[in-house]
Amino acid sequence: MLLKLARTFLRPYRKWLAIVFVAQFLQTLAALYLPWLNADIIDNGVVKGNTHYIFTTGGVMLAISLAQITAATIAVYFGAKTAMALGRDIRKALFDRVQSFSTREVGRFGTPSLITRTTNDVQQVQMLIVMTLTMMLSAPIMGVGAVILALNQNVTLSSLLLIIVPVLGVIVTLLVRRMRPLFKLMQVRIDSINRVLREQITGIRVIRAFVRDEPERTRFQQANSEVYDVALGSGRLMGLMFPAVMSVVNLSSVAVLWFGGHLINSGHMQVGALTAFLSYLMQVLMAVMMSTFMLMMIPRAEVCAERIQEVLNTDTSVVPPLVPVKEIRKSGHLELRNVEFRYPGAEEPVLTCVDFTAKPGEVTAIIGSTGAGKTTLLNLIPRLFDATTGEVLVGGVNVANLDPDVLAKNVAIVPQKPYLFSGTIASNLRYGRPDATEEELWQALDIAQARSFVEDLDTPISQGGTNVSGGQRQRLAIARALVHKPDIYLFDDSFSALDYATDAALRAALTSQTRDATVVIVAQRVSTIRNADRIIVLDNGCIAGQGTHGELMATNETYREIVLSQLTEREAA
Amino acid sequence: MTGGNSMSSSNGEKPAANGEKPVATRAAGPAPTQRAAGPASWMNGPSMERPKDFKGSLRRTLSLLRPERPLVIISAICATGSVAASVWGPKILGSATNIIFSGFISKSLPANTSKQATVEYLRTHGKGTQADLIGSLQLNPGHGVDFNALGRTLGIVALIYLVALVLGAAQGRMTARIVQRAMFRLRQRAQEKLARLPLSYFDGLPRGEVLSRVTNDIDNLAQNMQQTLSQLVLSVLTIVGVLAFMLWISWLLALIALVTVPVSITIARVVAKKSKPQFVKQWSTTGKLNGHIEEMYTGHTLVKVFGRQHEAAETFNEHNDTLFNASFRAQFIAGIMQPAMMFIGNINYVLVAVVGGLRVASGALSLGDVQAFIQYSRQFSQPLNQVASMANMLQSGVASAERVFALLDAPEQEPDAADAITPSAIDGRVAFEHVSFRYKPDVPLIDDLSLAVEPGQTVAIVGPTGAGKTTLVNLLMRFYEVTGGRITVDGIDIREMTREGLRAKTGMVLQDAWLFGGTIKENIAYGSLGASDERIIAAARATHVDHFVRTLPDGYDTVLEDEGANVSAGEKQLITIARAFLAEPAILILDEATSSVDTRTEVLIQRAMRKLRQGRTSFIIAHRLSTIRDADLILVMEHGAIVEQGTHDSLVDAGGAYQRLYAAQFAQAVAEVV
Repeated sequence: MLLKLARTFLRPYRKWLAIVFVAQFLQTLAALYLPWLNADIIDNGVVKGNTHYIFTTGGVMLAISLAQITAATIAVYFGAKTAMALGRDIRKALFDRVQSFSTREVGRFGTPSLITRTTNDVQQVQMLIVMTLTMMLSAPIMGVGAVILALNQNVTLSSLLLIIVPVLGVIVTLLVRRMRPLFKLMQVRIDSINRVLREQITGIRVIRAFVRDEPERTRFQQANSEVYDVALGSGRLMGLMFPAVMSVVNLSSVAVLWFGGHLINSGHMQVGALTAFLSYLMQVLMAVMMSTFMLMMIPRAEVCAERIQEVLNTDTSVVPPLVPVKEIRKSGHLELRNVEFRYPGAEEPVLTCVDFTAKPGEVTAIIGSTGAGKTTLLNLIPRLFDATTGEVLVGGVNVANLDPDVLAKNVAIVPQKPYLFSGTIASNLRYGRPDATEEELWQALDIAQARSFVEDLDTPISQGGTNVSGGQRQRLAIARALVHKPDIYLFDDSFSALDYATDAALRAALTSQTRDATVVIVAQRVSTIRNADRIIVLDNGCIAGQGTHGELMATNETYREIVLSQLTEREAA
Repeated sequence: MTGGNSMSSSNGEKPAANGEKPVATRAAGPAPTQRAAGPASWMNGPSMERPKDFKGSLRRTLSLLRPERPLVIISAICATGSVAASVWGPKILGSATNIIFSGFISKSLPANTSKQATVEYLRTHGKGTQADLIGSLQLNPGHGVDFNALGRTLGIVALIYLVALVLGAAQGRMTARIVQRAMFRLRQRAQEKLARLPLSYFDGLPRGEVLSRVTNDIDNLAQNMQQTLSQLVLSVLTIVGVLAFMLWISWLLALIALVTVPVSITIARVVAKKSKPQFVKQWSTTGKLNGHIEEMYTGHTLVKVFGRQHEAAETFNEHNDTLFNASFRAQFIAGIMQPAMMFIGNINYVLVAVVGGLRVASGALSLGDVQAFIQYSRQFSQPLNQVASMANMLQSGVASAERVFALLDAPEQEPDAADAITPSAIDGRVAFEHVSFRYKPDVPLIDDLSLAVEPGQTVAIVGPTGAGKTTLVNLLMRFYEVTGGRITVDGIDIREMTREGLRAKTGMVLQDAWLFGGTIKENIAYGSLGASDERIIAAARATHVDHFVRTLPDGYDTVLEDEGANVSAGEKQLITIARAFLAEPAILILDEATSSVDTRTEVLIQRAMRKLRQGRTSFIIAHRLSTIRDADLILVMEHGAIVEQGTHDSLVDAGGAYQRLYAAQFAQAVAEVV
């Protein structure tokens, strides 16, 4: 997954990548050339007593060092640039993808999870790439380069390296192979122990009330033991890594001296090559340590990459039309034809056989129990969901064929949980229509009964609207929809946080503004919807009755029950 | 390379920033202390926090290892042995090189000359340097390398390295065990502590805060302990050992190597200083971008419905590009550190090679020693850098430990009296006798409240927010203890009962529905372990849970996740009601239990509840007066006192506070409906 993600998103930066590769190669080459020169100092300077040679070669070594830092800096520059560009591009792809999602996909992943995936997960992947390009990439080059240069010094002795390097590779691979699943498991178990704790803290009253301390303790202990087991396993492997790699290198230096001694004695090798060889071994060791460090980072980044890929591979269930209809046929006209909605795999549908028509100037109310499908029904109209069967028509056009922008212009929703964006009151009110005049804003605030608490349109609003009360938030959300001036208004239980007097005043004021519009109201209070032109009673996902208050009171048992639950018989009569 | 970020974000799915659902602090509870916990925490960037009392907390952190003392001592011995062995190795390897070198030179000399003669010959022929070199060697002219001596020396080195390996591996293994055991115990202690803390502790802190201490902080500590503990010891030992050997070989070369240390430190400082503003900028733009992402995702529906995708994407792109520029610069500057350090290392290497070469040539130093020195100087700089980064990790670990200790030190609730009784069966006669209570010592909340409830009666409590309704429940459940007077159940002071005994007889449904991450079935059976499926489903039917459960993909086996996208707030509340229903307690408490349920369902539940309430004493706290009309006794509370009590009809007739509340809720409704 990680590789696939990296490959896809690195493609546009092939040029930069090439520069990184070349620079890293030169940098590593320079690093390896130093021991070679050192051998030269010994063989031609020290042994022959040539001090001048020692100095000049020392100067060359300094020059090589300078070349190395230059190449390394270039590698870091383009490496950082590439990795950050990759992060930027993945973030953008994720953001665009989530934007295309319908409410269902967002619900499936959960908003916090999507946020984590777009922010933290990308960060992790990006970090890994930075490390790889700026530091780790030199490890394999170093390994190969050391072997090549060692060959240059002495072919026979180099056969040692040909053994050592693969041995190291095998040891590291084996350890990392065993570690990786442990690391992944560790993450899972840490998550689960944290979940247990989170539940125990948020549910402390319930746990104490139901006297569940002991079972909860056991549950935690079990989770804790599981964390311990994995942590111990991975800790042991990590503790083994360093001594193991170190020993291979150390024992190799012993072998280098033994075989080197023979080669020198028989005149097949110079003395300086010994020192060079030992240095190469050290460099190979460092390279291996670096790559193991990176290999340890991979599992986490891999999990992140998987989660990123999961989002990128998810297609929206609300597919935008290929050939969008740009024109509304009958403005304000709303029709649901035999609509059914069910979650995939669910035993029973959430909504079934929903059939009704609403025209401009009419108020349609939807009432029913918790879980009867009221909100789902409403969400079908702005196409937050798509009906499983049947059709939803706005302005006489199936919403599935309608241009999303045209649909947005024609429908406004006031959601159950009003959400405001950070900014000012004005910026929030103008959300649906950026060019609305101040006068229009004030007018909307008037109707929404919000003028009393709004002194200044530029009053700042914090993220989510947390700096105003629930009732105020709801009224601002209503005003926002009013500024939008759509043909169809959808109110999803939007008056529940208001007291009865405000509710009544608001609805009275609303009537004038929405005279020519189609209004659909989901409500709990009978008083809110009593005067509606059409009341739809939803029960268990089906329409149990349709009509005016008077008609339903006379004929519909479910409706009567709802009304009576709020008023005594005498009061309702 | 970005400071603390990679560490703090290890919690997989949810970062600390938005990991927990915001939980409203209970209205009647004390105000939470002001400490920013929430989505904004990432705006501050990597936490560069320092512990308040580093020494004390470090000592206490180390004391966590005390139960493992024997293992700690053995592991310390192993560490010392392992380091000593691996530091000693290069020096002996150096003598092996000397043997080879001597053999090499010896061979080049005629067999029948003495070393003395050769040196003099060279000197007279003007090759003074070479004469010095040979003069310092042990030569056996004409003979080659002494392979016996070489084999012996190399055998010793190999043995030493093997010892280092065994000791090192043993040490690593033991450290893992020591640290993980200590962390296991610490987690367990923290969890057990939670069970003993009074509820006031949880109500007084933001929930995320407590959670973060037992999760993020312990995680962070565990990770840092595992990495720093052995690494720090090993690094320090290595530095000391290497330095000693370097000085032994040549003080001049050692001096050269040491000079590079302050140079490295200076470079590190300069880079850190230069990169800091870049990192600050990176973090502030990250904050902005993440804020925007969070907002657009949370308001996803609105963005869609109002057709604002284009604008959302535009703002996103703007922030995203700024972040790219800032983070690229930060990474670049920080990334230069590595090559710079390498450069210093190489200069050091060159100097050692040149100066060492000159010294060998003049016979002041053996070739093997120079070779050992080069190995040492490479070994030297690495642990130095490590110690520097360990210091940061240690600091962050100790800061975490400090917060965990603060939790462990928090005062606990009074334990049950030794002679406390656990009632086997109770009738449910509840009496409040001159009860007073205050959350904060100087703010009286309930003052001299008396109340008597007969078994099987239903008592409704109404009144404005902050009147003390929930407090009554807290006191009855002994979540909080009365500060004056007493509460009795069946005539027994509840303080003379065990908390568990009292609570086992009481069922409770709260306003914020708490469900744990199990199946719906398990959640319903939470208070009644081992209840049969039939009973569970019967309870679900009675409380109207059954229908919506069947619309879910997995029915009763649907696992409730944190987000619970398919289960609405009202449905969650129904599940908690089913849970209390199944538990069949003697005393039932419903605290705004049906506030998220529609009125008709509420009526249906009430019918079921009425059955449930028969023979049980029930307390109902409700906002909607429609739900409590048939209560035996209605208490109207204001400012911690009962201002009115009676039945619905008598209170309406009395024309007092209840009548006003009732009018506010109903008059309007009646006027419109009729």
